[in-house]
Amino acid sequence: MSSKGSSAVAKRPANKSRAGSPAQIVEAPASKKNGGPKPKPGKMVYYFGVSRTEGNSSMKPLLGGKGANLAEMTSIDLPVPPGFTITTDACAAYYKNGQQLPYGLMNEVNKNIAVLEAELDKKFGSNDNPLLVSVRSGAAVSMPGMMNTILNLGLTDASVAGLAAATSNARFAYDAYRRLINMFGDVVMGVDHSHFEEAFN
Amino acid sequence: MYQKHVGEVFPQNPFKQLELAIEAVFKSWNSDKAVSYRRIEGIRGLNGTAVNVQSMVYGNMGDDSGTGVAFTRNNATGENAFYGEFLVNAQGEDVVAGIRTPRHVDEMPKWNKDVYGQLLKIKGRLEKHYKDMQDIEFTIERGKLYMLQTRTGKRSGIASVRIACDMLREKLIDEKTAMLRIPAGDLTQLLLPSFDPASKKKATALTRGIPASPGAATGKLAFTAHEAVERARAGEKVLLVRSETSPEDVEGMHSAVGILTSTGGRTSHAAVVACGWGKCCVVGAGELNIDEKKGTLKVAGQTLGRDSVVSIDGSTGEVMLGAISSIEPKLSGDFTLVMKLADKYRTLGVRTNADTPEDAQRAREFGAEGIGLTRTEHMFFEGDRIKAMREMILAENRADREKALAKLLPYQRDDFVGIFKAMKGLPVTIRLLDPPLHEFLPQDDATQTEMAQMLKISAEKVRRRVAQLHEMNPMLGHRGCRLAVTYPEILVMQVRAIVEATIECLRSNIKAMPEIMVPLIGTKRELAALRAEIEATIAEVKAEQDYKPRLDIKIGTMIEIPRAALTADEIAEVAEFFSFGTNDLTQMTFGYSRDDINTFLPDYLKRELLDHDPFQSLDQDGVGQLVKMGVDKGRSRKPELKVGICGEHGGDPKSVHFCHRAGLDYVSCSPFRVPIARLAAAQAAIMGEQAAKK
Repeated sequence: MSSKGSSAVAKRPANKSRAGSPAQIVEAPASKKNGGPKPKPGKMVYYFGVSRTEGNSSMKPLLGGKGANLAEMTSIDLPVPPGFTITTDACAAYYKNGQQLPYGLMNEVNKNIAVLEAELDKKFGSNDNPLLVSVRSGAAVSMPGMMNTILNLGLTDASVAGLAAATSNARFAYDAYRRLINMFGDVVMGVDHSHFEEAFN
Repeated sequence: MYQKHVGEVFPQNPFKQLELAIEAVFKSWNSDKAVSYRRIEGIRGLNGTAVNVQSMVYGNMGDDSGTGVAFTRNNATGENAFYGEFLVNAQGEDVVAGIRTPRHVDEMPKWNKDVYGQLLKIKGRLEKHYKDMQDIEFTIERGKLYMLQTRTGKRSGIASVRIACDMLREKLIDEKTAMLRIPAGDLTQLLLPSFDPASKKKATALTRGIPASPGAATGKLAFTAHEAVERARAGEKVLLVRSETSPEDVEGMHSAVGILTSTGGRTSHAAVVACGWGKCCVVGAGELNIDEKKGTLKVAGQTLGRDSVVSIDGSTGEVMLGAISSIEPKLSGDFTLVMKLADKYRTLGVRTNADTPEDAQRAREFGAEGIGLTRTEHMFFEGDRIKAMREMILAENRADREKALAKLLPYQRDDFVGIFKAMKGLPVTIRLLDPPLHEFLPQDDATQTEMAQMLKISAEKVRRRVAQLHEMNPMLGHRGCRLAVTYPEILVMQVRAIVEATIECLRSNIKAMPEIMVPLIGTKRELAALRAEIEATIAEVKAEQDYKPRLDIKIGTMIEIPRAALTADEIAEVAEFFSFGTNDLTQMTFGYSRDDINTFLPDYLKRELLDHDPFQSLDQDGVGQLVKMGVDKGRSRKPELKVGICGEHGGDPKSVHFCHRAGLDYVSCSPFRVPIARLAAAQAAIMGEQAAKK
């Protein structure tokens, strides 16, 4: 993208309040303060897709802006790739827990993966047309580029062959796997990109 | 490879990958960059981040795939046209990485007409559903369109006005929603010139100060007020650069296209005066090294002189080298509509702070319903007046003081006549002399000698008087009503000028409505004593002028000392109105010297010991309690008491909301902030009504 272009895309990463305009002040989540939309106690994962959609746009404090709107768009029948959102409360619990994922979270996540698998008729980790997912952050207020994103998650040495076969595009499949390992090393394990770039080149 | 650097095998179980990725996203919530971003943006009170796990779609599956981002309407102008960009055969991450140049969405039909049609339909559905402009991300995988995100689109002030008005006409939203859609503070962008973004991008940044008065100014450097006046007269565009300004510099400030100072905050002299005029001003740019005598300015490793051209952005505080082209504001029909609706919904009055007929006229055009504060001290600096003023200050007895004051009387009267004419039919609150007298005397040797010659007295005498007037803490010293207590003749002259001007106007059928405001009152007895003198003077002038009809001149006080708020019930017995001077009230409640806050306030904000600069937005928890108490106690004794606010806060949207809730009758702010206050007052009323329904 052009660095001098005054394009909408170019502006996007800096999508924050303009200098000089008052800072955004966000109150404590409505769900806690004045009992807005009542989440089910203990529920940490909200699905969006054809099978069911559990969130809506009023649940930003709990589902983040991105998650709440993905649910909303799904419920008005816009074409949204299905998925699920893990709540901000789960994030708070993670920190409360001394940086341990809250008990039962992965169980709930796995159940939702199963719904996703059924809806798309794909299997996570399969070597035949595998289910791949993106994992993105999303707070109640947009914080562009500040947090982590991982794409193509679900690819393994075995499933990459499945993807190559399903798309009849081996170059595409291995490029996707490269991106995943690269991002995973960087984001999850904190290894510098350049090591991977060198090796792949 | 992965194994070598990570020390373990890349997880081959996708569920393990997912678990690690979820944890990584949680961790990134508290990364250094995320934490500092939230601090800088003032984002507080959030729980944490959510994690979105979503099935992948690919924009990089070939030439029938792609990805893009768009606003459903133009986010800069507000025009109802799809506005965005896309890349063929690319992933979203490639777009952000800036490797390839994207194409405008207008070109999409050439690439894939069907997808473009789908996208347009989605734009319509999203706007119909969300009833607002959206900012979307989409991906096309092998000709099939997927939506990956939608959110309310950020927009310029100009766009927010246009979009609100357009959507109102399209019947997507109602009037109240339209009102709430426009950030009141952003109206400034419609009222003042701004730099052309393209031209600004090319400029060299020198430093950054505090944005004190919005707008855009480019000029050659002038280092003294005198120099600014002379060079402006000769047709040059000059930027006045001072370490700080004083009332003596006012003429030079007025002549300059913009004002830049190295010290002082948002309520410093330069900031307050410039803001009142709508003149671009940046203050407290601490990195500037100004040598007034040599006429040099050192900054960012450069030495600039009188011929150097500098540009300042009063909305961001940026100081830049060279000329930058600017865009003049255009007031649209939509702006008029927004103001009309604001007046329909607001219950809070909006007045202006104005010291000259020109300011008053401008504020009236912006919709001010009166003047909430006329500062009389600025009237003593121009031309010959300062001479008479100095004679008065140097006089050793009352008789000499009165002689000097008699020279000032006609000037002052004419000023008031001018303002009454501009504001005919609307109330004008005039504050009696407020600053300490030493502000009117020159502080340096050379000017003191010059002044001694002019007044035909010894330089020694001038120096002695300056030394005598020196105070350890002038803001808490001999100023405000204390001047009237020790020199009643000053009060008498000012009241006389007000009454004579009023009678002169009334006799020529101009409806003058003055209100006399006594500053810095702390006790009822103070105000009662001065009120008696004011009333006596009014009666005296009426008799002299043989004016028989009733003269309705209200007498009231500023509430700016905490003690006055605490005893507002007693004070209300001798006042017809209160006006909260929240600059001083903040200063005295916090015990912060507002001229010195630059030394510590930045650290307080950085360490989050304060949420915001309390001189910029009213501290509702502390100072606000005093305001509420003042209103409640005052009205408990005198239900018909009129209550307003005349500090800089009067034009700050959040403070306006507070004033609405506290039950004030009006806010008063600088002329260019009047439209902002009108809109903010309407928003406060609408939000109050909605909250009451819930």
